[in-house]
Amino acid sequence: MKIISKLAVASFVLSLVSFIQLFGIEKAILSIILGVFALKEILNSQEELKGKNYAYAGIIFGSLYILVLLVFVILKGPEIFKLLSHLR
Amino acid sequence: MKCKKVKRKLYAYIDNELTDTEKQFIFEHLNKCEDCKKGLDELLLQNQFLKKLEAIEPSVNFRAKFWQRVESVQEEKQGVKISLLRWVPVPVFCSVVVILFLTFLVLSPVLYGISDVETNRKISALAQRTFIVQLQQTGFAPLNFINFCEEYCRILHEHCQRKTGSTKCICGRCEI
Repeated sequence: MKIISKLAVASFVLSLVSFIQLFGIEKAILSIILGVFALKEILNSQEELKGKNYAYAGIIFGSLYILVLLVFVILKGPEIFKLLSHLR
Repeated sequence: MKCKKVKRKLYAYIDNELTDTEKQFIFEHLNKCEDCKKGLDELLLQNQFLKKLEAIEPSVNFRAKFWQRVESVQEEKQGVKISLLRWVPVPVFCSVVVILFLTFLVLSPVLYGISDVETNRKISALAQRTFIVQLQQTGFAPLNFINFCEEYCRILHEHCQRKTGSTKCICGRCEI
């Protein structure tokens, strides 16, 4: 019987939780790292473990969260730097 | 020794792929050697039999499907080589950029030598509110990040106005 990979589930849950305000960006990074480890674990387990889709979802949602933040940094960054340069 | 050489070249002899001298050499040998002649007859018989068989036409996408299956089996064996894993460094790099940006914002009063006590207090309070104490306006994390940046800009503007001593802002944001 196939057992679902715990790492994959942890990655998926963390990636979803990262969208809820509870500390910051570290949950998304952790979900991506866990997702990568889960994928490696599943693929090296000779089909004893399942949950590949959870691992994929974890990586994708984690990346999505980070990309949303990055888009705002790109949009807002120049204004903040402009302001700071005036304060010099 | 001679027979071994000739037998090896019999297929090419039947298919007419030999040079004239080689053909002549084998022809002469076959006339003398009974064993090799027998071998040639067997090959000719085999050829005739194969020609009688109907040729099988492969399906249209046979080649493409065949190589696709070979590749998928190879990929399964290699395991870790998945296209998605190749993209993992991108969000990791992006997160480094975001973290550096946030660190820069929090440390900016020190980095830019903002000596105003009021501004420093406001910036540290904002950082605490966003990253340490859970007093956010919404539960949706990206929105709070956006609010943090907006609030940060507002604090800087206030500081800017206080510094210049007038309501007119030098940065251009207030004129909009």
